[in-house]
Amino acid sequence: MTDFESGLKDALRRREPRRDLTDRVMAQIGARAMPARRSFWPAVAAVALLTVTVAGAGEGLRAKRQLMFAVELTSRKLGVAQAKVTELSRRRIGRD
Amino acid sequence: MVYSIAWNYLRNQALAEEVAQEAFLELHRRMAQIESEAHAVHFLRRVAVHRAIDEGRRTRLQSRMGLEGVPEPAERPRAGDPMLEAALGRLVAGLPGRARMIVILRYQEDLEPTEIALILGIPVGTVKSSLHRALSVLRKRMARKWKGVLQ
Repeated sequence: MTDFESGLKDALRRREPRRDLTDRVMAQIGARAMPARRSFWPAVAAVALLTVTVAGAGEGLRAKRQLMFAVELTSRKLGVAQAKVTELSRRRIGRD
Repeated sequence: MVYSIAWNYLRNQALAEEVAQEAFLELHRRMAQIESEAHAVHFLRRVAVHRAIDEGRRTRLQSRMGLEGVPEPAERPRAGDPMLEAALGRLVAGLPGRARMIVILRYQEDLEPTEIALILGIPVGTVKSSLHRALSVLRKRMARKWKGVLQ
């Protein structure tokens, strides 16, 4: 690789998005996953990958912590939302 | 990776985030078809590349990115100099769409021409010749700005 190509590599190095990007994607995935009442594990997997990809490959431990946090948070949020949907459906069936 | 591809191509934070968001939502929609982590990375990269190209066309960013907007250096720069990097980034942004994406995939993502060809759906020979031409254009334009620095 020439000096010029090294310069290009430096100029085009990966950049970090704003921190709330992960939250926004999670919110959208959650919103889309809930109405159809599908399994939320694909959402968890997508967010996990998002966290790893956003964090970058060279940030091992930090990425791993973020990944665990994202998986845990997503599971929790989607779990709560799914329970609410189930509860609402039960009530509606009870009324009908 | 996803955000960086879009940012380096569009050089607009909001648009790059939009592209990244769409790519992850698309991944979520297709999660059942994803077979491995490598497959997911390839899928994300491919979606990000095509969404960024579409967005670039839509916003006609190219016409707004004048190469002449690159500021003249106040002093002779070194390799690794932030000013030099910014100028190179802007010169890349001034390349035509496909050549720009090829340069980004080669130097940001470290992809081989065969992988780039697969993502863009064009022949490997076209990738190689576009890359060669793009580098030659960039060298000339850079030399015009900073004579002899990166030769």
